[in-house]
Amino acid sequence: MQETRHQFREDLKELERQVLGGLDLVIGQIDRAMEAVSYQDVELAAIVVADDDRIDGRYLEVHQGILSLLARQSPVATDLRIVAALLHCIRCIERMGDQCVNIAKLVPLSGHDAPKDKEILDSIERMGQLARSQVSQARDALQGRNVELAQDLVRQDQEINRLNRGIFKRAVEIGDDVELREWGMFMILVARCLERIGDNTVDIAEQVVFVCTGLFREMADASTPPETARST
Amino acid sequence: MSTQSSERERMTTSREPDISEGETPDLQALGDIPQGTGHTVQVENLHAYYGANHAIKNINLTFRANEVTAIIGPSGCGKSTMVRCINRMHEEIPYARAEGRVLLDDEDVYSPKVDVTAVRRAIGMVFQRPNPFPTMSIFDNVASGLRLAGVRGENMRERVHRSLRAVGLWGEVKNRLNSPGIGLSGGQQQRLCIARTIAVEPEVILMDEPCSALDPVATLKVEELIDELKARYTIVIVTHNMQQAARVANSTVFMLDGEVVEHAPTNDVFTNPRDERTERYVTGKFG
Amino acid sequence: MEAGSLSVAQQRLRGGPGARRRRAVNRVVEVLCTFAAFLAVAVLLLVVISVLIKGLPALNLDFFTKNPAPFGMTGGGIANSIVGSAILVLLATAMSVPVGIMVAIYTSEFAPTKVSEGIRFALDILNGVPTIVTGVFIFGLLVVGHQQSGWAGAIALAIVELPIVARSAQEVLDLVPRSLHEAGLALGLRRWRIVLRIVLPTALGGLITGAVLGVARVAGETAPLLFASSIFSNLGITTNPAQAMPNIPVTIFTLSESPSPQDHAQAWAAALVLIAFVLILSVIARTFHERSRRRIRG
Repeated sequence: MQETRHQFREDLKELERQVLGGLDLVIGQIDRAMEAVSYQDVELAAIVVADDDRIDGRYLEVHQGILSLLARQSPVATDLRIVAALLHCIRCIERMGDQCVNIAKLVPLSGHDAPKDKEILDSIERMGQLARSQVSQARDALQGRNVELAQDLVRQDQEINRLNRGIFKRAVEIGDDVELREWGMFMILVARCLERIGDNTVDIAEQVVFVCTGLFREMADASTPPETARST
Repeated sequence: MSTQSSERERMTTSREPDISEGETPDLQALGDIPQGTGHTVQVENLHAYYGANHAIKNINLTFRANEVTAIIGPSGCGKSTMVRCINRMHEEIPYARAEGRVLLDDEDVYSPKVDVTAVRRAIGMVFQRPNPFPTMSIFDNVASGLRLAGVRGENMRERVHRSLRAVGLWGEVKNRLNSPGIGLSGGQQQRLCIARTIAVEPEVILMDEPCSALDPVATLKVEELIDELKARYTIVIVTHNMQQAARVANSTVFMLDGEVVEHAPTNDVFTNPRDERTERYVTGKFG
Repeated sequence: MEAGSLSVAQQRLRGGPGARRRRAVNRVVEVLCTFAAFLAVAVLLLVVISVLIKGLPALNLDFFTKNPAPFGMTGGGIANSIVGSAILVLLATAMSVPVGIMVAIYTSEFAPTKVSEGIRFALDILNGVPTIVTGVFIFGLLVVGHQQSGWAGAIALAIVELPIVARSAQEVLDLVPRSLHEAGLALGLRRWRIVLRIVLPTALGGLITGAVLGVARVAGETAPLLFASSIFSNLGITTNPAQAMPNIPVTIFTLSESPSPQDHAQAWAAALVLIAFVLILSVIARTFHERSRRRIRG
């Protein structure tokens, strides 16, 4: 026997699928952007920039779908929270996509065959891996409605934050080297983008907790100074 | 009879009231609200039966003063029955009875010392289908609760005028107060019934799906009126339309199989209900 | 056109095999029913027209204003019977209508269902009691050992009229929607006030219809009056119900038994008056019925 409001449930599931798919797109973009940074691959960077259209398109689709669902179906209770969360998440996805584009745009600027600093490069690569895994974990938390997984993201985000600070200090250290210092500045910007991606995954985690518990709590993320961060 | 016709004469030849009457409800017409006159209804251990059928099981609820409380739930859950126990209409049905206490402020309406018709004057009721008296004019309809209870006097026309102003009907009917009550549209008839109810100056108003027989525009007008009315009366509204409950009620009660499952502020019931059954009902997983 | 040359849509819309036969059967049934309806109306017309034809010649002013002529003489009228019938019917109605309406109110408003059903059943039986039996009953009760009287006749007629008025009133009161009762109760009104000021006015048209139908029926009842009010001491106008009162049905009966053809003519004329009275009352009843239905449906 068909469940009541069958069409509504289908529509809601489809919206969620699109959001999860958007997260997959972001993961792909992060991978390519990081590869472009590591190997100074300008062509790959151009592809990342072009592919952001897909993420923007996804954003519009989901946004429209949500408006339509709100107008036609008057969702309440859990359904309403899911819809609100999906709207928030697709915005985070769009922003993460933009951060990937920013990273990609920095690749040609940082120059071909420029001398690189191993310490910074390793940290950047590590940050990229963390960002990727955080997005993946956020995706799993959302799909599985997993509160523990969501709360764990905060811990991982602190790692990204630490790496970001580290890169900054190292870039200052190599600042005396005329050949390295421009490259160092660009790497600071790349690190900043990755750190922003991390913040967005924490936002998504907050939404997952909201859907599951009906309560909205700010989680300590990299942008909140440790002293004033509320305990979760 | 002669008092009626002379009242009507004075009605039609009198000066028009100088406040402009729009179509919106004007509760100010009823005068200022005396301080601290909210009335609470408290239901304690209520059971209700139709013959051997135990329809309402041990209900405990408080209806706060000057608030609108909505009662929602699937068909047959007992919401209408419970509400009819509050003004003792339930016992008018053959073989039906109720047990328990219903306190209006501090007085139990089921107490043997209490006169049942006085209970119903203090606790008014508006029904699903508008039911103005067909043989009476608009004026007589509004006055009927007073006249047929033996109230006489000069200020009958004033009271009718005030009630019609309060429900926002005055502008629409002031030139045809003598025409039959049933000549109005559905929405107007329902507001006429509300005017008839408030003419008796109740403390609580019960509404049993008051908008189900009305078109969407009339429904919104009645909802607007309910919102105004709560400043003066405690209102309980039974509705099977969840959006309506969400729009008008301060708090919502969800009933299932003769019992109260959840009673919470409306916002909570519709964004984050505590009980799984409430969640399933409001999201339409059953109904 | 042969069947094979029609398109599928045309074939379907033509109704398929047997359609022509079904249409023919339908026509036949229609014709038969129409004929039956006309027959019924024709019978009524026949009765009315023959009474009209036979009775009209004897109808003149004297007929209405003069008492019967002494034996053997021609002329005269049925003035005494008209007055007598009017008084008998009035008395009977004055007795049966209030009681009938109150019985109806009781069964509709106050009685438990079982009692109400019992009363309805009893009234239906009473309605079916042959009027001659009623006549014999009244004869045994009020006439034997005393004398015939208008009261006896009126009471007998009231017994016949009561179930008609009561049943009709019951039907009409049941039609008044429960929502009006509820509205009245919810306003805090007492039951008797609700009945008096809300239910009865709403049902008024129907109640009047019932009363009028009762009068129409009873105006022509002969059997009870044969027992209770058929032997008259004098042939003048009597207004005292303690005595037997001349009345139209009995007069028709006695006039038609007489050998004189003028008396027969007068019998037809009296029948015409009676039928005219019944027809007029039926029209009035109809009008009130319509009015009442419109009111209740709101």
